[in-house]
Amino acid sequence: MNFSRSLRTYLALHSWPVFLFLYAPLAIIVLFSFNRSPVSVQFTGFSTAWYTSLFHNQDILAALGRSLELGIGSASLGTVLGTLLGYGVYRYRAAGLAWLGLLVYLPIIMPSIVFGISEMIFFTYVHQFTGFLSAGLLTMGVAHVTFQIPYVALVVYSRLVGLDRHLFDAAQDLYANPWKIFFHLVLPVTRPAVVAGFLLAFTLSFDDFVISFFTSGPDSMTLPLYIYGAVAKKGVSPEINAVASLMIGMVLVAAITNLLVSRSKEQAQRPSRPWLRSH
Amino acid sequence: MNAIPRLAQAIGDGKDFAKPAAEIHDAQHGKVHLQDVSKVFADGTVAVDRVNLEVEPGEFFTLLGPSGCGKTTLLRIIAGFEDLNGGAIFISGRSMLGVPPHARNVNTVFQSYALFPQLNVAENIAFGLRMRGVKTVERRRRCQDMMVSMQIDVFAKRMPHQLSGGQRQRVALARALINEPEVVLLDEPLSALDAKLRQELQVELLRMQKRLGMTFIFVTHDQHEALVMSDRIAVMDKGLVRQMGRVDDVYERPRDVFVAEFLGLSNIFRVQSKQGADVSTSLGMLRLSHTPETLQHVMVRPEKVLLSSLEEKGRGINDFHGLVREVLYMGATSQYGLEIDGYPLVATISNTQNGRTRYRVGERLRVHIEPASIVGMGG
Ligand SMILES: Nc1ncnc2c1ncn2[C@@H]1O[C@H](COP(=O)(O)OP(=O)(O)O)[C@@H](O)[C@H]1O
Ligand SMILES: [Mg+2]
Repeated sequence: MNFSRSLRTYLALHSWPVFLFLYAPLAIIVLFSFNRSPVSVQFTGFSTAWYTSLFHNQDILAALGRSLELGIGSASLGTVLGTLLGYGVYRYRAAGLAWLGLLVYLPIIMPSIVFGISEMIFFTYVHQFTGFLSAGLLTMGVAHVTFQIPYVALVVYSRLVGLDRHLFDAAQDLYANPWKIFFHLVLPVTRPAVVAGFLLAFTLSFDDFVISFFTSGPDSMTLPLYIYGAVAKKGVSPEINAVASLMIGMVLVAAITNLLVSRSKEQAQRPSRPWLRSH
Repeated sequence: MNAIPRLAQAIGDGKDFAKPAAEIHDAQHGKVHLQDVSKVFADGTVAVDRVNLEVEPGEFFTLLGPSGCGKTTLLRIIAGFEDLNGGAIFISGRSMLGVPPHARNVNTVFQSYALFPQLNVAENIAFGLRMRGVKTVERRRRCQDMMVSMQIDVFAKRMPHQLSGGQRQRVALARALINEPEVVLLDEPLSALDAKLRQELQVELLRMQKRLGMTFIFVTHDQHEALVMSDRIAVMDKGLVRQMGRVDDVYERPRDVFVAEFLGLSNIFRVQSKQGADVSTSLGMLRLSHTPETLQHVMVRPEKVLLSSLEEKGRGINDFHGLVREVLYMGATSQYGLEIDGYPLVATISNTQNGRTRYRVGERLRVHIEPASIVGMGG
């Protein structure tokens, strides 16, 4: 009792530096995005000018458009393939296919720089010999789908493992063939996981720099690549701060929405008092 | 399909009640026949060992045995979830080899109920009809009839997690019965419920089975449940069927020590030697009315042991003097722990029968066992 209380006090006191390290840089970025001065070291006054100029910067808007296109496109395909893989691994987990699970993990633990370079080399070869797949949004998309699949598969797989395994027997017992099992049981019960997998895949793609860097072409600059290029050329400008602030805002809104939705769902699912009929 | 009585009709007014279902069905409909069925799991466990069973149409058949004896596996074999390592299965006279579960006209009530969490009660019950492509209107009507007959229509829109154990059990049963399968398989469907609810549902389940005339294969490890519900039972042990028959026959005439001990209380004595109808046991000489060929043990059920006071005249044979060591009062009956020449014997006496039936600890009394009450058994 005493111990846990002093532990709590300790954590309350000592977690502040951690939070400071985590959030101070973000706060500074947001603060300086409203800085009047174009120099990012001292705050000279409040202004929304950078947001205005941001929405008139065709390069940034084009990069954002490409990021969204790439993110939604790759996440859609990655979710479909990842869901199928997750279900497949679950379905045949008993059939001596445990090594498949390892193959699923591999892309997750592989350093993305290795992943990016190998993808680049692969695409170069393919392009040399077939003429297809010249570096651009398409190659980036293929690379993104490749690293999204295992994440989606894992999310879907863990949802399936958490279910009563007799549900699949019950569906089969009630005349569902394998196709019907997939559409009438697997998809409905994994829907929350599939949605979460899609969001995860989208975020991974939207935010990816390393793999995108190696697989992009001349006309496929996404937002992270643009930001990197701009910072490398001119240093951190308030415009970049504004983009970053918008991204932080988006993520916050998404996270809070997710939290509220899942909490209200949880409340709805909490069993009400068992209500017995009196005979 | 038309030969099957419509469920709603059968439930509705009970007109079919007097007509045995077997007359309506063709002779094979609902019959389950297992021939030398074996199942060995990948790890070498022999879960089912050359089992032969014939379950008659419309019968309430129970697989009884301790946990791990292979009951669930046998049920899963009939449903089609496990392939065989040997033998053959026929349902309604058709071989089931290579027929997947979804193509078998058999429905299971799972031990965990396995209700679909994303569907409400009505949708759960209608699942089988939907998978078979029954039209929405008919599906709704049959589902409604089913829910009314099972008294769960007020829960129609609830999700499974909002139901109590007993309600879930009903939904699981309704979900199986609505499909009017040839055979209903039930894997310990009542074991998760408390005693009172379990007794209610036992009676309800039994009435429903008799009314519908469907074949039920029921799995339990509870001997009382097996005694109450079954027409016939198969007592299983380590993948083998030790004895199969009408439930009263198996109780009265167990074939071996395992069956005798698993089904009810018993006094069992090793046979030391045998002379005609007389056998010598640790209790003394016992006269049997019938001696089987392989006779290693004799068994007498506690309720077949007759007690009387010492003043009453003995009957000459199978008479002993006993000492009351322990009395367990159980309401309708009392269970006496007796000692005869240093050997224990259990007797159960009804507390309502005429005459003096109560004895005290330390009291000496006369013990008699009718020759016809003694069962000779093998191992
Ligand atoms: N999938 C399986 N793999 C290996 N052994 C199994 C499997 N299922 C059941 N068994 C084993 O088979 C035996 C019978 O199990 P089961 O049919 O579930 O028994 P019961 O239902 O009578 O308790 C047990 O020893 C059990 O451990
Ligand atoms: Mg079992």
